[in-house]
Amino acid sequence: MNDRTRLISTIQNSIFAKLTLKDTDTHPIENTKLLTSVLKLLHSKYYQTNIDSFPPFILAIDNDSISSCTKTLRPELLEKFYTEDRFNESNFIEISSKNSASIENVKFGNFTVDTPDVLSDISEDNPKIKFFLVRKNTLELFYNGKFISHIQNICNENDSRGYNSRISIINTEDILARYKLYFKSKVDPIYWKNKSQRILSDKPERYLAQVFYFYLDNLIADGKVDTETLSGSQDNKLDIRVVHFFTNKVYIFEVKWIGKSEKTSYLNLKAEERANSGIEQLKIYLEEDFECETCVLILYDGRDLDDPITWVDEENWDKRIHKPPFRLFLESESASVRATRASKLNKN
Amino acid sequence: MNHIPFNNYSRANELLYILNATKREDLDSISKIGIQKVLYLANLLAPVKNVILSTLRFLSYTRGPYAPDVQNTLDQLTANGFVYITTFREFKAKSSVATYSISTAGEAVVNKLTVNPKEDEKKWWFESILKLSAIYSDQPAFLEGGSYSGFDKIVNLVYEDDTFLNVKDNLQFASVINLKREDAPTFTLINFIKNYVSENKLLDNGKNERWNAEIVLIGFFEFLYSKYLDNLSNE
Repeated sequence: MNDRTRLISTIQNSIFAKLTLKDTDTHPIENTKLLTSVLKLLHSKYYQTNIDSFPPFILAIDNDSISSCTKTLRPELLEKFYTEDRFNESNFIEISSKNSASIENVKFGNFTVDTPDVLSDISEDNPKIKFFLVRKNTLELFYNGKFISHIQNICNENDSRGYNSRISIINTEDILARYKLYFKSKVDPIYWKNKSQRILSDKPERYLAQVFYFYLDNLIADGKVDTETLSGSQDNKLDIRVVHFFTNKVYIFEVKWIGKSEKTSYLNLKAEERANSGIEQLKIYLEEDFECETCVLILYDGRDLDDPITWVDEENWDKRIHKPPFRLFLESESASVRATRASKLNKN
Repeated sequence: MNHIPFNNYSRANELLYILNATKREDLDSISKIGIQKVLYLANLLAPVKNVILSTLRFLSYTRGPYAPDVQNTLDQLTANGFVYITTFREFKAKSSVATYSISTAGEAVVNKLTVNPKEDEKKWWFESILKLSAIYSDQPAFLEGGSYSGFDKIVNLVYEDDTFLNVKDNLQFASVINLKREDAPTFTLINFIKNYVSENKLLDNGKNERWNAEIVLIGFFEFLYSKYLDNLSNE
């Protein structure tokens, strides 16, 4: 990556930049100090040693306490919550100038939150507070009702803050090929409600869109990756957009799923209709966004069999629609089980 | 304070701003190395906001960019009671480690000087650079090991600057690093990013110039840190 691309990426995409660009209430350098203090706390020996015992928790930091964050965000803070069993009542650690580190849960009461959706809504009601959702070594930041940024693994700084392995958004094919490998090897299959019966959890699209967004955000070298999928209950906003730094061309990824979930079913003809509705959605985007260079349907396929989709009117699609759409069959068997079955089939 | 015979008042003021910022950041003191690196970064990045600083000649040196004239001014400030030597250790005949802090008299000078808006601008600039240097010397990749400790770890970021590296790699020991040459890598990069930010309206946020300059400054520090991380993973 050349220095110009690296610098633009840093100024737009780093967690430090994203927070300072979206928060006009707090001094930029103070925000940077806060983020560094949070990271240092999570890197602390105490947290890393006891990480398996920590439930998901939320650091709720009031803007008025940021100047003292380096003193407040110490390992002793986590130790206090952990040893006093405070997480049984609430997983919020409130930090404000009045309560330097409250264990009384003054503002949020006895309440436990461990999903981004709910936290996003809480954030909207508390616009002067920064919410850090900590799940083991994953960190997500919300402010003013908006998802700001995330770090998938705070211990792997090369992924989140280095740029060596990043590639250009222009290489859409490579991005999708790499995503297929990444998804199969790295993504936690919590999208299954019942794996053996191939039933997906309720509204799996939110999680699956987020996985793809996180992946792009860590992979793209020369584009700004944006989504609404992590802000509030935006079930209908599942597109992820990447704006190329140097041309301002837009790359759109629309996320859909088919198969059977706890409450909804897209099987057989319904699956075909659902998949093709994704293409219709892309056509609407193309009408609205003249800067769009390429748009891709990301289709997660939870059906029983890995059967192709019959795409309607494919030959007449706008040439900017990526062909074929990116269909990812969701495996519910381990690689070893699949290999054994394939081996038996070969023998027969 | 104009009766004190400083050979360069402007440079003396800048050193007081650095030491004043050190105290405000709750750092006990700052070493010679730390002062040199803050001065280098402040001068290197000055075009971000077109801050005009005193002229310093930085040389490429064993331990990074070094401006020889600074020590004399620091000694004068110490002799006149504006600066304290907090710790001092001598290693060899010509080698020593010292850390410095500002005295109450030095703070009073800073308060008087910054009534002048131009001086206030410089004070803000050095404060910003020092704060960011303190933040970035505390980054996770620097937590364990290394040749430097505490604030001095900022050296690791300075070593990622191409303007310094170009001189260090291509020329002889103790060559002058010209920060403002049209083709100096960081100078060119700053001009590029200023144009990019302006053309793409990245910072049309209604905030003042200092606010937005700080965002760009943070970008540069993070940029250097990301290069450090990438180089670390290539080793």
